[in-house]
Amino acid sequence: MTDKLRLATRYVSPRHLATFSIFLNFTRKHSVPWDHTDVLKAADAILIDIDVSDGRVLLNALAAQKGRQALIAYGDNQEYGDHPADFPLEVLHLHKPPNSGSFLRVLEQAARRCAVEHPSGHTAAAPASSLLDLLVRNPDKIVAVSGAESYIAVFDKKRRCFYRDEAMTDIHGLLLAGPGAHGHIGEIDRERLDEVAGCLIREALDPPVWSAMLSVSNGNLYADLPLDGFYKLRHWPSLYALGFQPSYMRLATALRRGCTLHMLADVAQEPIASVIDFVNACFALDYLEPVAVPVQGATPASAGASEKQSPAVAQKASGLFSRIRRRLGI
Amino acid sequence: MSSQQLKFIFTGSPNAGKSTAIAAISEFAPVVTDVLATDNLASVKEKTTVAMDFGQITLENGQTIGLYGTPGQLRFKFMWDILIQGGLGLIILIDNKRPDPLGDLEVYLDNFAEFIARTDAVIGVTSMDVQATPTIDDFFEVLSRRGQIFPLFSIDARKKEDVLFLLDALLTCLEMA
Repeated sequence: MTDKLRLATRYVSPRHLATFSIFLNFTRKHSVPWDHTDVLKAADAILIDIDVSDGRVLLNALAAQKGRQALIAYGDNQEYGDHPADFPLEVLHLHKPPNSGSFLRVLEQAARRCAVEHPSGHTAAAPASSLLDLLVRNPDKIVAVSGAESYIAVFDKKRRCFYRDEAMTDIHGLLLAGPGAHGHIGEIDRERLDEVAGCLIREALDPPVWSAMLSVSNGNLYADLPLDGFYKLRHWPSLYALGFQPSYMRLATALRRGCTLHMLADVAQEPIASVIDFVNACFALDYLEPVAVPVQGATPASAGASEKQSPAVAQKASGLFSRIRRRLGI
Repeated sequence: MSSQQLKFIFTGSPNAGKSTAIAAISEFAPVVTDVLATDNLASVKEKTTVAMDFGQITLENGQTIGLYGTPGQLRFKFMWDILIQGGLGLIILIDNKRPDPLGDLEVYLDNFAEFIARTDAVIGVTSMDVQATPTIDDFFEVLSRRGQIFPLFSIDARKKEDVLFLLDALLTCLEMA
């Protein structure tokens, strides 16, 4: 098992490099921490500033080689190279200015590209390579599925919406199908999306991605999500739109303060398989903060509240809330 | 009405639907303290709450739970501190049609910070069907920047099921605390 991953950088300013060094230190407690290397060949991932013209040239060249290394395009330059429409979807993107949250998230995605084995030995049953998988791995990209003459569907995960052709009614099936099953898949830029959106039907993306992930999850953690990871919500699931279940409300509430999967199952009183399905779906929709390794002695979500209520008061409150629920029919 | 009666507090920006939300679930038509709006709010709504709205639900054991709506305008802030006494939790309603809904949210999170820390809060954003921006993600960005996360949904305060959904979320948070 790899005990450390290495990140190389090219054309990054000294100021940003210093910032990245600080962020890399945050990974020290991760199951597989990251370190910086100056040697390109030794790197597991390469971060390149694409706001520099030489950086764009290098990125294009490395992408064309389709090597083992994860590539991270750093910057906001829309013109990735001479042929932006052909730019590989597998290149990760990190916007400027740098912040620790997005940096760590990109590193997580890069680690998955490096196929890091889960430290607990749990082999996650990754879903078959599919459009859903592509969307989850590329949250910042606008992904278009095109047929012979026009776009069948375009997915804008960042804005949580998708656009479909009138004839495309089975988005669930499209998400779960293999990448080439329904047509050519590629990335388009926002300008192109604005041009074609008027001819397509716009819908919310969260519900179909949520249901598609639940249908393939089957109690197995997605990709390389760690079984012993510390999971925390950063965005409350749109439970009303996703198909409400009381268990979802409990799981989301428990995830508010963050906990491990087993703690979550205990606090929410749900089977671990259901918890994993919920976490997978939350992960697919970017509802979670970057997953961290739990600190020794991490307490479950309910622990903090012992500061608010004594057990006797908590029991009395529980009875009151049950009566309120019965009165309101919820 | 005892100031120590157990209650749910509905607060939020003017015209967000606090009075409407209470009316949707109260067992009697809420007592309202609306007067004609005379300030710049008059261009948005004819009347505004100046003291509180009051509704109620009665539990199976006869216990009553108040549904208190605070005045939305900041100049009635002194009423907020009085009304939260005995409060079980807070429902914040934000009108997305206002000039700065994200700023409005921060006002209520700031002014009810102590009460929220002792209990909990849920947030309903109204009029998103009329004004789609800021988006729900924008609201979560605000919460994230503050290091907070609350149940936050787009709702229609006129719909009983939407108001009950907010209360369901609040009760779950209170039960699991």
